[in-house]
Amino acid sequence: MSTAMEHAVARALHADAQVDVDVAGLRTAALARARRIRLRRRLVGSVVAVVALIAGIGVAATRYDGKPPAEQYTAPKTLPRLDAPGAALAPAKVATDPSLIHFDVDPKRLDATELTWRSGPDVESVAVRTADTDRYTVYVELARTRAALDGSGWGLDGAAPRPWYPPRPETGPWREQPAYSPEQLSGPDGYAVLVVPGAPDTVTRLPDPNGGDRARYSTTWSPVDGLWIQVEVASTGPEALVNAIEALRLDRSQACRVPGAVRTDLSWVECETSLARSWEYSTITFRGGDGALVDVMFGNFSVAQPFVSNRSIAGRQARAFTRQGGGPALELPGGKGRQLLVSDRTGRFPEETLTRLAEGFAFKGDANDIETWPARPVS
Amino acid sequence: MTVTFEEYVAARGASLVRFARLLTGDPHRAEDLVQDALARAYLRWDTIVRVEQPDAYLRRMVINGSHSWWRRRSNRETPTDTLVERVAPGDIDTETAERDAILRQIARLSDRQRAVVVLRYYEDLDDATIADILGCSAVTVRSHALKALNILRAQVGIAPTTSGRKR
Repeated sequence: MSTAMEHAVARALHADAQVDVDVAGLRTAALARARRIRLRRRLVGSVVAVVALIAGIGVAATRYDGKPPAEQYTAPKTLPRLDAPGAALAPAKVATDPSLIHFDVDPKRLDATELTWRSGPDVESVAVRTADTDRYTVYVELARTRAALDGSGWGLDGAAPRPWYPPRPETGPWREQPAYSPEQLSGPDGYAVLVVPGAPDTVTRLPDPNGGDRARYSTTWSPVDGLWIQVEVASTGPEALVNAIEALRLDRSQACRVPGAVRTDLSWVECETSLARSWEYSTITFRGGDGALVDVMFGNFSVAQPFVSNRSIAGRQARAFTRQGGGPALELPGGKGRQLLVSDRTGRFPEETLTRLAEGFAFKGDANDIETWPARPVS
Repeated sequence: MTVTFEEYVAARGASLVRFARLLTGDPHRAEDLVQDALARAYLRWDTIVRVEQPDAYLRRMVINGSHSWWRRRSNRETPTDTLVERVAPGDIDTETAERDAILRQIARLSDRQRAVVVLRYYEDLDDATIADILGCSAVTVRSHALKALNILRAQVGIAPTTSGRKR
Protein backbone atom coordinates (compact mmCIF):
# COMPACT_ATOMS: atom_id res chain seq x y z
CA MET A 1 0.00 0.00 0.00
CA SER A 2 1.63 3.17 -1.02
CA THR A 3 -0.37 6.36 -0.82
CA ALA A 4 -1.66 8.33 2.10
CA MET A 5 -5.15 8.03 0.70
CA GLU A 6 -4.92 4.27 0.48
CA HIS A 7 -3.67 4.08 4.06
CA ALA A 8 -6.50 6.31 5.21
CA VAL A 9 -9.11 4.23 3.35
CA ALA A 10 -7.79 0.98 4.81
CA ARG A 11 -7.75 2.46 8.35
CA ALA A 12 -11.29 3.76 7.98
CA LEU A 13 -12.64 0.47 6.66
CA HIS A 14 -10.95 -1.64 9.32
CA ALA A 15 -12.07 0.66 12.11
CA ASP A 16 -15.65 0.65 10.86
CA ALA A 17 -15.71 -3.13 10.56
CA GLN A 18 -14.75 -3.78 14.18
CA VAL A 19 -18.09 -5.15 15.29
CA ASP A 20 -19.02 -8.31 17.09
CA VAL A 21 -20.89 -10.86 15.01
CA ASP A 22 -23.11 -13.60 16.42
CA VAL A 23 -21.75 -16.42 14.27
CA ALA A 24 -23.91 -19.13 15.87
CA GLY A 25 -27.01 -17.02 15.28
CA LEU A 26 -25.89 -16.40 11.71
CA ARG A 27 -25.53 -20.12 11.03
CA THR A 28 -28.92 -20.92 12.58
CA ALA A 29 -30.64 -18.18 10.58
CA ALA A 30 -28.95 -19.24 7.33
CA LEU A 31 -29.94 -22.88 7.78
CA ALA A 32 -33.53 -21.90 8.57
CA ARG A 33 -33.62 -19.75 5.47
CA ALA A 34 -32.15 -22.59 3.39
CA ARG A 35 -34.99 -24.85 4.57
CA ARG A 36 -37.56 -22.21 3.58
CA ILE A 37 -35.98 -21.80 0.13
CA ARG A 38 -36.01 -25.55 -0.41
CA LEU A 39 -39.62 -25.80 0.70
CA ARG A 40 -40.61 -22.91 -1.55
CA ARG A 41 -38.93 -24.54 -4.54
CA ARG A 42 -40.82 -27.75 -3.91
CA LEU A 43 -44.09 -25.86 -3.57
CA VAL A 44 -43.48 -23.96 -6.81
CA GLY A 45 -42.72 -27.24 -8.55
CA SER A 46 -45.96 -28.71 -7.25
CA VAL A 47 -47.99 -25.66 -8.28
CA VAL A 48 -46.49 -25.74 -11.77
CA ALA A 49 -47.38 -29.41 -12.06
CA VAL A 50 -50.97 -28.75 -10.91
CA VAL A 51 -51.35 -25.79 -13.28
CA ALA A 52 -50.01 -27.90 -16.13
CA LEU A 53 -52.47 -30.62 -15.23
CA ILE A 54 -55.38 -28.18 -15.10
CA ALA A 55 -54.28 -26.62 -18.38
CA GLY A 56 -54.12 -30.06 -19.93
CA ILE A 57 -57.62 -30.84 -18.74
CA GLY A 58 -58.81 -27.51 -20.13
CA VAL A 59 -57.32 -28.21 -23.53
CA ALA A 60 -58.77 -31.68 -23.55
CA ALA A 61 -62.21 -30.31 -22.63
CA THR A 62 -62.04 -27.74 -25.39
CA ARG A 63 -61.21 -30.41 -27.91
CA TYR A 64 -64.06 -32.50 -26.62
CA ASP A 65 -66.41 -29.58 -27.44
CA GLY A 66 -65.33 -29.86 -31.02
CA LYS A 67 -63.90 -26.35 -31.01
CA PRO A 68 -60.33 -25.80 -32.18
CA PRO A 69 -57.94 -25.26 -29.29
CA ALA A 70 -56.60 -21.76 -28.90
CA GLU A 71 -53.20 -21.45 -30.52
CA GLN A 72 -50.57 -21.68 -27.84
CA TYR A 73 -47.25 -19.97 -27.99
CA THR A 74 -44.29 -22.30 -28.39
CA ALA A 75 -40.97 -20.73 -27.61
CA PRO A 76 -37.91 -21.40 -29.73
CA LYS A 77 -35.34 -23.80 -28.39
CA THR A 78 -33.01 -22.31 -25.82
CA LEU A 79 -29.26 -22.41 -25.49
CA PRO A 80 -27.73 -24.02 -22.40
CA ARG A 81 -27.85 -21.62 -19.45
CA LEU A 82 -24.51 -21.02 -17.72
CA ASP A 83 -23.83 -20.32 -14.08
CA ALA A 84 -21.78 -17.26 -14.96
CA PRO A 85 -22.49 -13.56 -14.54
CA GLY A 86 -24.41 -11.78 -17.27
CA ALA A 87 -23.41 -8.61 -19.07
CA ALA A 88 -24.65 -6.34 -16.30
CA LEU A 89 -22.23 -7.80 -13.79
CA ALA A 90 -19.46 -8.77 -16.16
CA PRO A 91 -19.42 -6.19 -18.96
CA ALA A 92 -15.70 -6.74 -19.57
CA LYS A 93 -16.44 -10.30 -20.66
CA VAL A 94 -18.91 -9.37 -23.38
CA ALA A 95 -17.76 -10.46 -26.84
CA THR A 96 -14.49 -11.93 -25.59
CA ASP A 97 -15.27 -15.62 -26.05
CA PRO A 98 -17.27 -16.99 -28.99
CA SER A 99 -18.59 -19.82 -26.85
CA LEU A 100 -20.39 -17.42 -24.49
CA ILE A 101 -23.36 -15.07 -24.72
CA HIS A 102 -23.80 -12.76 -21.76
CA PHE A 103 -27.48 -11.93 -22.06
CA ASP A 104 -30.85 -13.42 -22.83
CA VAL A 105 -34.28 -12.30 -24.00
CA ASP A 106 -37.78 -13.32 -23.03
CA PRO A 107 -39.01 -14.98 -26.24
CA LYS A 108 -42.64 -15.03 -25.18
CA ARG A 109 -42.69 -11.31 -24.55
CA LEU A 110 -41.31 -10.77 -28.05
CA ASP A 111 -43.61 -13.37 -29.59
CA ALA A 112 -40.42 -14.81 -31.03
CA THR A 113 -40.47 -17.73 -33.43
CA GLU A 114 -36.75 -17.84 -34.10
CA LEU A 115 -33.72 -16.46 -32.29
CA THR A 116 -30.40 -16.10 -34.08
CA TRP A 117 -27.66 -15.72 -31.48
CA ARG A 118 -24.19 -14.53 -32.32
CA SER A 119 -21.03 -14.05 -30.31
CA GLY A 120 -18.18 -12.43 -32.17
CA PRO A 121 -14.92 -10.69 -31.35
CA ASP A 122 -16.53 -7.29 -30.74
CA VAL A 123 -20.27 -7.78 -30.46
CA GLU A 124 -22.80 -10.23 -29.07
CA SER A 125 -26.23 -10.10 -30.64
CA VAL A 126 -29.58 -11.71 -31.18
CA ALA A 127 -31.87 -11.27 -34.15
CA VAL A 128 -35.48 -12.13 -33.39
CA ARG A 129 -37.95 -13.38 -35.94
CA THR A 130 -41.46 -12.68 -34.75
CA ALA A 131 -44.77 -14.36 -35.42
CA ASP A 132 -46.57 -11.27 -36.73
CA THR A 133 -44.50 -10.91 -39.90
CA ASP A 134 -42.34 -14.05 -39.96
CA ARG A 135 -39.39 -11.70 -40.46
CA TYR A 136 -36.61 -10.49 -38.23
CA THR A 137 -38.14 -7.52 -36.46
CA VAL A 138 -35.99 -7.15 -33.35
CA TYR A 139 -32.22 -6.84 -33.26
CA VAL A 140 -30.15 -6.47 -30.09
CA GLU A 141 -26.41 -5.90 -29.90
CA LEU A 142 -24.14 -5.75 -26.87
CA ALA A 143 -20.56 -4.50 -26.92
CA ARG A 144 -17.96 -3.18 -24.57
CA THR A 145 -17.63 0.08 -26.48
CA ARG A 146 -19.90 2.37 -28.42
CA ALA A 147 -17.45 2.24 -31.32
CA ALA A 148 -17.88 -1.53 -31.59
CA LEU A 149 -21.64 -1.10 -31.91
CA ASP A 150 -21.32 1.66 -34.46
CA GLY A 151 -18.81 -0.34 -36.46
CA SER A 152 -20.54 -3.69 -36.44
CA GLY A 153 -22.35 -3.02 -39.69
CA TRP A 154 -25.18 -5.28 -38.69
CA GLY A 155 -28.84 -4.53 -38.37
CA LEU A 156 -32.31 -5.49 -39.36
CA ASP A 157 -32.18 -4.42 -42.97
CA GLY A 158 -29.26 -6.18 -44.51
CA ALA A 159 -26.91 -3.30 -43.74
CA ALA A 160 -24.34 -5.94 -42.95
CA PRO A 161 -21.54 -6.34 -45.48
CA ARG A 162 -22.86 -9.80 -46.23
CA PRO A 163 -26.37 -11.22 -46.66
CA TRP A 164 -26.22 -12.82 -43.34
CA TYR A 165 -29.73 -13.88 -42.58
CA PRO A 166 -30.31 -16.78 -44.89
CA PRO A 167 -33.70 -16.83 -46.52
CA ARG A 168 -36.17 -19.37 -45.30
CA PRO A 169 -35.68 -22.64 -47.12
CA GLU A 170 -38.78 -22.10 -49.21
CA THR A 171 -37.78 -18.63 -50.42
CA GLY A 172 -35.10 -19.68 -52.81
CA PRO A 173 -31.39 -19.11 -53.13
CA TRP A 174 -29.36 -16.46 -51.42
CA ARG A 175 -29.73 -12.95 -52.61
CA GLU A 176 -28.08 -9.75 -51.63
CA GLN A 177 -30.17 -7.21 -49.83
CA PRO A 178 -30.08 -3.80 -51.49
CA ALA A 179 -27.81 -1.35 -49.70
CA TYR A 180 -29.76 0.69 -47.20
CA SER A 181 -28.52 4.08 -46.09
CA PRO A 182 -30.94 5.18 -43.43
CA GLU A 183 -31.86 8.80 -43.37
CA GLN A 184 -31.88 9.93 -39.80
CA LEU A 185 -34.81 12.21 -39.40
CA SER A 186 -34.61 15.29 -37.27
CA GLY A 187 -37.21 17.26 -35.45
CA PRO A 188 -40.37 16.02 -33.81
CA ASP A 189 -41.18 13.60 -36.60
CA GLY A 190 -37.83 11.90 -36.34
CA TYR A 191 -37.86 11.03 -32.70
CA ALA A 192 -40.16 9.29 -30.36
CA VAL A 193 -39.73 10.05 -26.71
CA LEU A 194 -40.12 7.00 -24.56
CA VAL A 195 -39.70 6.33 -20.90
CA VAL A 196 -37.87 3.09 -20.37
CA PRO A 197 -36.40 2.31 -16.97
CA GLY A 198 -32.64 2.21 -17.25
CA ALA A 199 -32.61 3.19 -20.90
CA PRO A 200 -32.32 6.54 -22.68
CA ASP A 201 -35.46 8.42 -23.53
CA THR A 202 -34.56 9.40 -27.07
CA VAL A 203 -35.23 7.00 -29.86
CA THR A 204 -34.30 7.35 -33.49
CA ARG A 205 -37.00 6.60 -36.01
CA LEU A 206 -36.03 5.75 -39.56
CA PRO A 207 -38.39 5.20 -42.48
CA ASP A 208 -39.26 1.68 -43.56
CA PRO A 209 -36.58 0.89 -46.18
CA ASN A 210 -39.14 -1.20 -48.03
CA GLY A 211 -41.59 1.67 -48.28
CA GLY A 212 -44.01 0.07 -45.84
CA ASP A 213 -45.34 1.24 -42.52
CA ARG A 214 -42.79 -0.54 -40.35
CA ALA A 215 -40.37 2.17 -39.34
CA ARG A 216 -37.07 1.29 -37.70
CA TYR A 217 -36.95 2.44 -34.09
CA SER A 218 -33.59 2.18 -32.43
CA THR A 219 -31.79 3.35 -29.36
CA THR A 220 -28.32 2.98 -27.89
CA TRP A 221 -27.34 3.31 -24.26
CA SER A 222 -24.85 2.24 -21.64
CA PRO A 223 -26.58 0.65 -18.65
CA VAL A 224 -23.35 0.07 -16.70
CA ASP A 225 -19.76 1.16 -17.16
CA GLY A 226 -18.13 -0.75 -20.00
CA LEU A 227 -21.33 -2.05 -21.58
CA TRP A 228 -23.21 -0.63 -24.56
CA ILE A 229 -26.48 -1.89 -25.93
CA GLN A 230 -28.30 -1.14 -29.14
CA VAL A 231 -31.84 -2.29 -29.75
CA GLU A 232 -33.58 -1.90 -33.08
CA VAL A 233 -37.10 -2.92 -33.99
CA ALA A 234 -39.17 -2.82 -37.16
CA SER A 235 -42.63 -1.81 -36.11
CA THR A 236 -45.59 0.41 -36.73
CA GLY A 237 -45.01 2.14 -33.41
CA PRO A 238 -42.31 2.80 -30.82
CA GLU A 239 -44.00 0.66 -28.18
CA ALA A 240 -42.30 -2.38 -29.70
CA LEU A 241 -38.94 -0.89 -28.77
CA VAL A 242 -39.98 -0.50 -25.16
CA ASN A 243 -41.18 -4.08 -25.19
CA ALA A 244 -37.90 -5.30 -26.69
CA ILE A 245 -35.86 -3.45 -24.09
CA GLU A 246 -37.98 -4.83 -21.30
CA ALA A 247 -37.56 -8.34 -22.72
CA LEU A 248 -33.77 -8.08 -22.30
CA ARG A 249 -32.14 -10.06 -19.53
CA LEU A 250 -28.64 -8.88 -18.69
CA ASP A 251 -28.29 -11.10 -15.64
CA ARG A 252 -27.92 -14.36 -17.55
CA SER A 253 -25.25 -16.11 -19.55
CA GLN A 254 -25.66 -18.79 -22.18
CA ALA A 255 -23.40 -21.09 -24.13
CA CYS A 256 -23.27 -20.54 -27.89
CA ARG A 257 -23.38 -24.09 -29.17
CA VAL A 258 -23.55 -25.58 -32.65
CA PRO A 259 -24.18 -29.18 -33.70
CA GLY A 260 -20.97 -29.52 -35.65
CA ALA A 261 -17.21 -29.17 -35.47
CA VAL A 262 -14.32 -28.49 -37.80
CA ARG A 263 -10.86 -29.95 -37.75
CA THR A 264 -8.61 -26.93 -38.30
CA ASP A 265 -5.66 -24.97 -36.99
CA LEU A 266 -7.36 -21.63 -37.64
CA SER A 267 -8.58 -19.61 -34.67
CA TRP A 268 -12.28 -19.84 -33.88
CA VAL A 269 -13.54 -16.28 -33.41
CA GLU A 270 -17.28 -16.23 -33.91
CA CYS A 271 -20.30 -18.39 -33.20
CA GLU A 272 -23.76 -17.99 -34.66
CA THR A 273 -26.66 -20.33 -34.10
CA SER A 274 -30.28 -20.00 -35.04
CA LEU A 275 -33.01 -21.70 -33.05
CA ALA A 276 -36.69 -21.91 -33.87
CA ARG A 277 -38.86 -24.79 -32.64
CA SER A 278 -35.95 -26.80 -33.92
CA TRP A 279 -32.41 -25.91 -34.81
CA GLU A 280 -32.22 -23.93 -38.06
CA TYR A 281 -28.57 -23.32 -38.87
CA SER A 282 -25.22 -22.37 -37.37
CA THR A 283 -22.10 -20.59 -38.51
CA ILE A 284 -18.64 -20.85 -37.03
CA THR A 285 -16.10 -18.30 -38.18
CA PHE A 286 -12.34 -18.69 -38.21
CA ARG A 287 -9.57 -16.17 -38.49
CA GLY A 288 -6.36 -16.73 -40.39
CA GLY A 289 -2.97 -15.39 -39.40
CA ASP A 290 -3.42 -12.23 -41.44
CA GLY A 291 -6.85 -11.45 -39.98
CA ALA A 292 -8.79 -12.93 -42.90
CA LEU A 293 -12.14 -14.48 -41.94
CA VAL A 294 -13.85 -17.59 -43.25
CA ASP A 295 -17.34 -18.80 -42.34
CA VAL A 296 -18.46 -22.41 -42.10
CA MET A 297 -22.24 -22.39 -42.21
CA PHE A 298 -24.35 -25.51 -41.93
CA GLY A 299 -27.92 -26.53 -41.41
CA ASN A 300 -31.19 -25.49 -42.94
CA PHE A 301 -30.72 -23.02 -45.79
CA SER A 302 -30.89 -22.91 -49.54
CA VAL A 303 -28.24 -23.70 -52.06
CA ALA A 304 -28.32 -22.64 -55.70
CA GLN A 305 -31.03 -24.27 -57.79
CA PRO A 306 -30.47 -26.04 -60.04
CA PHE A 307 -27.31 -27.19 -58.33
CA VAL A 308 -24.44 -27.73 -60.75
CA SER A 309 -21.51 -29.46 -59.16
CA ASN A 310 -18.03 -28.43 -60.28
CA ARG A 311 -16.02 -30.12 -57.52
CA SER A 312 -15.94 -33.27 -55.46
CA ILE A 313 -14.94 -32.83 -51.83
CA ALA A 314 -14.63 -35.82 -49.54
CA GLY A 315 -16.80 -37.79 -51.92
CA ARG A 316 -19.56 -35.15 -51.90
CA GLN A 317 -20.75 -33.02 -54.77
CA ALA A 318 -19.64 -29.44 -54.31
CA ARG A 319 -19.83 -26.14 -56.13
CA ALA A 320 -17.13 -23.51 -56.04
CA PHE A 321 -18.41 -20.03 -56.82
CA THR A 322 -17.88 -16.39 -55.97
CA ARG A 323 -20.53 -14.90 -53.74
CA GLN A 324 -22.20 -11.84 -55.13
CA GLY A 325 -20.38 -8.93 -53.56
CA GLY A 326 -18.20 -11.30 -51.54
CA GLY A 327 -15.35 -13.74 -51.74
CA PRO A 328 -15.04 -17.30 -52.98
CA ALA A 329 -17.26 -19.98 -51.47
CA LEU A 330 -17.89 -23.69 -51.57
CA GLU A 331 -21.35 -25.14 -51.11
CA LEU A 332 -22.07 -28.80 -50.48
CA PRO A 333 -25.74 -29.76 -50.56
CA GLY A 334 -26.80 -32.35 -48.05
CA GLY A 335 -30.57 -32.12 -47.84
CA LYS A 336 -32.73 -30.59 -45.16
CA GLY A 337 -30.67 -29.46 -42.22
CA ARG A 338 -27.47 -30.88 -43.73
CA GLN A 339 -26.37 -28.14 -46.14
CA LEU A 340 -22.83 -26.85 -45.85
CA LEU A 341 -21.37 -23.56 -47.06
CA VAL A 342 -17.76 -22.53 -46.58
CA SER A 343 -17.45 -18.87 -47.43
CA ASP A 344 -14.38 -16.64 -47.47
CA ARG A 345 -15.62 -13.40 -45.96
CA THR A 346 -12.56 -11.37 -46.80
CA GLY A 347 -11.52 -13.02 -50.06
CA ARG A 348 -7.97 -13.73 -48.93
CA PHE A 349 -7.88 -17.48 -48.40
CA PRO A 350 -6.77 -19.87 -51.15
CA GLU A 351 -9.41 -22.34 -52.28
CA GLU A 352 -7.48 -25.20 -50.71
CA THR A 353 -8.13 -23.68 -47.26
CA LEU A 354 -11.85 -23.68 -47.95
CA THR A 355 -11.61 -27.23 -49.22
CA ARG A 356 -9.78 -28.38 -46.09
CA LEU A 357 -12.43 -26.77 -43.90
CA ALA A 358 -15.19 -28.52 -45.85
CA GLU A 359 -13.34 -31.82 -45.59
CA GLY A 360 -12.73 -31.29 -41.88
CA PHE A 361 -16.32 -30.46 -41.00
CA ALA A 362 -18.60 -33.02 -39.36
CA PHE A 363 -22.05 -32.80 -37.78
CA LYS A 364 -21.86 -33.61 -34.08
CA GLY A 365 -24.55 -34.71 -31.68
CA ASP A 366 -28.30 -34.84 -32.18
CA ALA A 367 -29.53 -31.71 -33.96
CA ASN A 368 -32.70 -31.84 -31.85
CA ASP A 369 -30.90 -32.11 -28.52
CA ILE A 370 -28.65 -29.18 -27.70
CA GLU A 371 -27.26 -30.97 -24.68
CA THR A 372 -25.49 -33.37 -27.04
CA TRP A 373 -23.76 -30.59 -29.00
CA PRO A 374 -20.03 -30.11 -28.42
CA ALA A 375 -18.86 -27.37 -26.04
CA ARG A 376 -16.46 -26.10 -28.68
CA PRO A 377 -16.85 -26.63 -32.43
CA VAL A 378 -13.18 -27.21 -33.11
CA SER A 379 -11.63 -30.63 -33.12
CA MET B 1 -9.86 -32.22 3.33
CA THR B 2 -13.20 -30.64 2.44
CA VAL B 3 -14.50 -27.88 4.65
CA THR B 4 -18.06 -28.38 5.85
CA PHE B 5 -20.67 -25.62 5.73
CA GLU B 6 -20.67 -25.34 9.52
CA GLU B 7 -16.89 -25.09 9.65
CA TYR B 8 -16.91 -22.43 6.98
CA VAL B 9 -19.51 -20.30 8.75
CA ALA B 10 -17.65 -20.62 12.04
CA ALA B 11 -14.39 -19.55 10.45
CA ARG B 12 -15.56 -16.96 7.94
CA GLY B 13 -19.10 -15.92 8.88
CA ALA B 14 -18.05 -12.89 10.89
CA SER B 15 -15.74 -11.72 8.14
CA LEU B 16 -18.56 -12.01 5.60
CA VAL B 17 -20.91 -9.92 7.72
CA ARG B 18 -18.27 -7.22 8.19
CA PHE B 19 -17.62 -7.24 4.47
CA ALA B 20 -21.33 -6.84 3.74
CA ARG B 21 -21.60 -4.02 6.31
CA LEU B 22 -18.91 -2.08 4.50
CA LEU B 23 -20.59 -2.68 1.17
CA THR B 24 -24.05 -1.59 2.25
CA GLY B 25 -23.36 0.73 5.16
CA ASP B 26 -26.37 -0.88 6.83
CA PRO B 27 -25.84 -3.55 9.52
CA HIS B 28 -29.33 -5.02 9.19
CA ARG B 29 -29.17 -5.21 5.44
CA ALA B 30 -25.70 -6.74 5.69
CA GLU B 31 -26.88 -9.48 8.02
CA ASP B 32 -29.82 -10.18 5.75
CA LEU B 33 -27.60 -10.37 2.66
CA VAL B 34 -25.15 -12.76 4.28
CA GLN B 35 -27.91 -14.99 5.65
CA ASP B 36 -29.40 -15.20 2.18
CA ALA B 37 -26.05 -15.89 0.51
CA LEU B 38 -25.18 -18.58 3.05
CA ALA B 39 -28.62 -20.18 2.75
CA ARG B 40 -28.33 -20.45 -1.02
CA ALA B 41 -24.75 -21.67 -0.74
CA TYR B 42 -25.80 -24.33 1.78
CA LEU B 43 -28.20 -25.83 -0.78
CA ARG B 44 -25.31 -26.51 -3.18
CA TRP B 45 -22.40 -26.63 -0.80
CA ASP B 46 -20.90 -29.83 -2.24
CA THR B 47 -20.61 -28.23 -5.67
CA ILE B 48 -19.22 -24.98 -4.31
CA VAL B 49 -16.40 -26.57 -2.37
CA ARG B 50 -15.63 -28.90 -5.25
CA VAL B 51 -15.40 -26.35 -8.07
CA GLU B 52 -14.98 -22.96 -6.43
CA GLN B 53 -13.31 -21.13 -3.60
CA PRO B 54 -16.18 -20.68 -1.11
CA ASP B 55 -14.80 -17.29 -0.07
CA ALA B 56 -14.87 -15.92 -3.60
CA TYR B 57 -18.27 -17.49 -4.28
CA LEU B 58 -19.87 -16.06 -1.13
CA ARG B 59 -18.45 -12.61 -1.70
CA ARG B 60 -19.76 -12.65 -5.26
CA MET B 61 -23.21 -13.59 -3.97
CA VAL B 62 -23.15 -10.83 -1.38
CA ILE B 63 -22.08 -8.27 -3.99
CA ASN B 64 -24.75 -9.43 -6.42
CA GLY B 65 -27.36 -9.35 -3.70
CA SER B 66 -26.43 -5.86 -2.67
CA HIS B 67 -26.56 -4.55 -6.23
CA SER B 68 -30.24 -3.59 -6.18
CA TRP B 69 -29.79 -2.17 -2.71
CA TRP B 70 -27.06 0.16 -3.95
CA ARG B 71 -29.20 1.24 -6.84
CA ARG B 72 -32.16 2.07 -4.61
CA ARG B 73 -30.01 3.90 -2.16
CA SER B 74 -28.10 5.86 -4.78
CA ASN B 75 -31.41 7.15 -6.07
CA ARG B 76 -32.00 8.80 -2.75
CA GLU B 77 -28.61 10.40 -2.41
CA THR B 78 -27.68 13.63 -4.11
CA PRO B 79 -24.06 13.99 -5.14
CA THR B 80 -22.44 17.25 -4.26
CA ASP B 81 -19.51 19.13 -5.70
CA THR B 82 -18.90 20.97 -2.46
CA LEU B 83 -15.80 19.82 -0.61
CA VAL B 84 -17.40 19.74 2.80
CA GLU B 85 -15.44 16.75 4.04
CA ARG B 86 -11.95 18.22 3.87
CA VAL B 87 -10.02 17.73 7.09
CA ALA B 88 -6.57 18.59 8.32
CA PRO B 89 -4.02 16.06 9.62
CA GLY B 90 -3.51 16.07 13.35
CA ASP B 91 -5.00 14.77 16.58
CA ILE B 92 -7.35 11.88 17.34
CA ASP B 93 -10.50 13.94 16.84
CA THR B 94 -9.27 14.97 13.45
CA GLU B 95 -8.47 11.38 12.56
CA THR B 96 -11.95 10.30 13.60
CA ALA B 97 -13.45 13.06 11.52
CA GLU B 98 -11.26 12.06 8.60
CA ARG B 99 -12.31 8.44 8.96
CA ASP B 100 -15.99 9.36 9.06
CA ALA B 101 -15.55 11.59 6.07
CA ILE B 102 -13.88 8.79 4.12
CA LEU B 103 -16.64 6.34 5.00
CA ARG B 104 -19.30 8.81 3.92
CA GLN B 105 -17.57 9.31 0.61
CA ILE B 106 -17.09 5.56 0.11
CA ALA B 107 -20.84 5.20 0.55
CA ARG B 108 -21.29 7.66 -2.32
CA LEU B 109 -19.05 5.80 -4.77
CA SER B 110 -20.61 3.82 -7.59
CA ASP B 111 -21.43 0.22 -6.68
CA ARG B 112 -18.48 -1.21 -8.61
CA GLN B 113 -16.05 1.33 -7.23
CA ARG B 114 -17.24 0.66 -3.67
CA ALA B 115 -16.90 -3.10 -4.14
CA VAL B 116 -13.36 -2.70 -5.45
CA VAL B 117 -12.39 -0.39 -2.59
CA VAL B 118 -13.73 -2.76 0.05
CA LEU B 119 -12.21 -5.86 -1.53
CA ARG B 120 -8.86 -4.12 -2.00
CA TYR B 121 -8.43 -2.16 1.22
CA TYR B 122 -10.47 -4.15 3.70
CA GLU B 123 -10.19 -7.70 2.38
CA ASP B 124 -6.68 -6.92 1.06
CA LEU B 125 -7.25 -9.04 -2.05
CA ASP B 126 -5.10 -8.72 -5.13
CA ASP B 127 -6.57 -7.37 -8.34
CA ALA B 128 -6.75 -10.78 -10.03
CA THR B 129 -8.85 -12.20 -7.20
CA ILE B 130 -11.07 -9.12 -7.16
CA ALA B 131 -11.50 -9.43 -10.91
CA ASP B 132 -12.57 -13.05 -10.48
CA ILE B 133 -15.13 -12.11 -7.84
CA LEU B 134 -16.55 -9.21 -9.85
CA GLY B 135 -16.41 -11.00 -13.18
CA CYS B 136 -14.26 -8.39 -14.88
CA SER B 137 -10.63 -7.92 -15.85
CA ALA B 138 -7.83 -6.87 -13.52
CA VAL B 139 -7.42 -3.77 -15.67
CA THR B 140 -11.02 -2.82 -14.95
CA VAL B 141 -10.40 -3.37 -11.25
CA ARG B 142 -7.42 -1.03 -11.35
CA SER B 143 -9.44 1.53 -13.27
CA HIS B 144 -12.26 1.44 -10.68
CA ALA B 145 -9.75 1.71 -7.86
CA LEU B 146 -7.98 4.66 -9.44
CA LYS B 147 -11.22 6.52 -10.07
CA ALA B 148 -12.45 5.80 -6.56
CA LEU B 149 -9.23 7.03 -4.99
CA ASN B 150 -9.30 10.18 -7.11
CA ILE B 151 -12.86 10.88 -5.99
CA LEU B 152 -12.03 10.25 -2.35
CA ARG B 153 -8.89 12.33 -2.61
CA ALA B 154 -10.82 15.22 -4.13
CA GLN B 155 -13.64 15.02 -1.63
CA VAL B 156 -11.72 14.28 1.55
CA GLY B 157 -8.62 16.18 0.64
CA ILE B 158 -5.75 13.89 1.56
CA ALA B 159 -2.74 14.71 -0.54
CA PRO B 160 -1.45 12.05 -2.90
CA THR B 161 2.05 10.66 -2.59
CA THR B 162 4.30 10.12 -5.55
CA SER B 163 4.43 6.33 -5.57
CA GLY B 164 1.72 4.13 -7.03
CA ARG B 165 0.31 0.88 -5.76
CA LYS B 166 1.64 -2.11 -7.62
CA ARG B 167 -0.15 -5.40 -7.81
